[in-house]
Amino acid sequence: MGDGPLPGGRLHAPECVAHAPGRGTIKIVARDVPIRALVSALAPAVALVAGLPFVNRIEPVVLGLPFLLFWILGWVLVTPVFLAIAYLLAEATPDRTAGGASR
Amino acid sequence: MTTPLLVIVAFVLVSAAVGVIGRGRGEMNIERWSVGGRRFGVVLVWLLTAGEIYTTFTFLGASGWAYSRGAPAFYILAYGTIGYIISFFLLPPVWRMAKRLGLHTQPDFFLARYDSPVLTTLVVLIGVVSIVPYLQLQLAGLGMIVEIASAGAVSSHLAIVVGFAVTCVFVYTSGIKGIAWVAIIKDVAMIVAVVVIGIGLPAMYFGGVGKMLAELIRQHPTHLTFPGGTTTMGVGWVISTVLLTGMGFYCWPHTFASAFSAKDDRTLRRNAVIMPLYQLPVLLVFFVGFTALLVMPGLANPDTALLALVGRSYPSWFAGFVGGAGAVTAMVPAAMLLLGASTLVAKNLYRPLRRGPVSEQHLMRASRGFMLAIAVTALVLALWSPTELVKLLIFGYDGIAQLFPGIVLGVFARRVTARPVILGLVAGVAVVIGLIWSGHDPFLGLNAGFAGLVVNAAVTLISMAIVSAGEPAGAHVPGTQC
Repeated sequence: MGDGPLPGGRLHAPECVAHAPGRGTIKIVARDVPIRALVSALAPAVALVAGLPFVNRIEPVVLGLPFLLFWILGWVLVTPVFLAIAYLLAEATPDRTAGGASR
Repeated sequence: MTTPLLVIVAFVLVSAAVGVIGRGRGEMNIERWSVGGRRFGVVLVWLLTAGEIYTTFTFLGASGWAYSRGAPAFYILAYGTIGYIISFFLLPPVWRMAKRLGLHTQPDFFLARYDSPVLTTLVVLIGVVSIVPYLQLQLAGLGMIVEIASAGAVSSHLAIVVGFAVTCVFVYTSGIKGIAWVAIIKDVAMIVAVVVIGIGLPAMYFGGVGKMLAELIRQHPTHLTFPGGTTTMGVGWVISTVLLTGMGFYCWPHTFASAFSAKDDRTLRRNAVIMPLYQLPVLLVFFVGFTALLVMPGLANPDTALLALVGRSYPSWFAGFVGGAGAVTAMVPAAMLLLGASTLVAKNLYRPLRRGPVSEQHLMRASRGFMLAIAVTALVLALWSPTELVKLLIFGYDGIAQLFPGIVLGVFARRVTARPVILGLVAGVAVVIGLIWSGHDPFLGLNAGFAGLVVNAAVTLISMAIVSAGEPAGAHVPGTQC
């Protein structure tokens, strides 16, 4: 099995590989989660940080919290949901370890 | 002896006893001492990771910053979440590599992956040098807690020495499993204390959190937006600090190694899913800091805000309970830091220097010896070079986060060799030291450590491109063989 995408948009290669591939390329060595899981998990991090310049204000006060604090807290609270989705997507992707065995 | 002091002493002694008993039966060897025989399930791994989150820093530093700086303290609420998201991807492959190759420490990982003694030594040095301020922070916090709780009857210096001696005893005898058991006491006590005071104090003085915040906004309209009570910590500083500390979160030798103690890789991923919620009590700590600002403004040392307000508002036994929780909260992370640092010095610096075989018992003795040496160094610094708590943590992160490119590329990019990583590390560390010593932190509104990390990553990637262009196709990359 090569490093090409598998069905389901997944790139797979075990993390320990004996020989380097062709010159000048950086091969993914340990991607064992599908792209969708990657996106799901990274979304809250990107949203939280990228939003900061735009939410640096008190108003509107939400649930008694100034908006800036509400924004940060809100993303912290929903991050487990996004990570749980990513976990399920990663688990649902077949043959997590079998790809490694075929090398 | 006053009531609060009595409660604190009892707390510390019970915890130490649990730590010593927690070692379990059988002979101690370095595998058991440092990674618990790699048999921990989700609960113990969770406890160990959690042991990292609630440190004296959370307790005193976060409330101190909420008190003196306001909104910039919010970075503390955000960075853990970024760290867990990164760990979701990073730790499982690291665990598998560690399992397959029998790795114990973070430098083991670097050696296995890059096969470079120079890089490994550099990693050990950066690790230990970054750990010392973090350790110093725990000690300084411990001293502060006991001194205030005993109303000056016990000096902070005496408290630091005694608390630390007790910590050394249980690390020395029990290793990581003893620490995990004490972490249970610590987390329960800590959460009870934080929930009670985080909700109770705003209610006591203002009739609720919402009313307290409304009053704060009325009295200090700029305190709750960046840059808060500072002039330099604007949005750029907060974003760069969140990214720096988020990326550095699992670069610490002891947090990195806590992944090794898991019994499988799924445990680590499940752990990452729930951990962000564990960050929430930090919010309550902020509320305490804000309440303190309104009730008792003008404290000389903002780090004492939480303790001062608790002492003024609650009966003395409860102040003792909060102090005891705080003291154990300093001891557990201090124990983990000590264990992490000493294992890597013994295994990755000392052993390679000794030619010929080194027995397990010899290495175990060496680890314990280095543990005491590192403990004394941090102790001396804590006693004679006091600094604000949050500053100490950020200094530590400035250094340790420089390992991030080497770790991530090591796991995810097959072509990377040692030389680009070494060059990047040296460049990054040089930038950080240069900026801090010349007084340029923040630099252009960004955290100096983040500036170092950007230079580090750029140098690594550029030299990687140059190295791989000069190498013959299909060349063997050392360390990637399994």
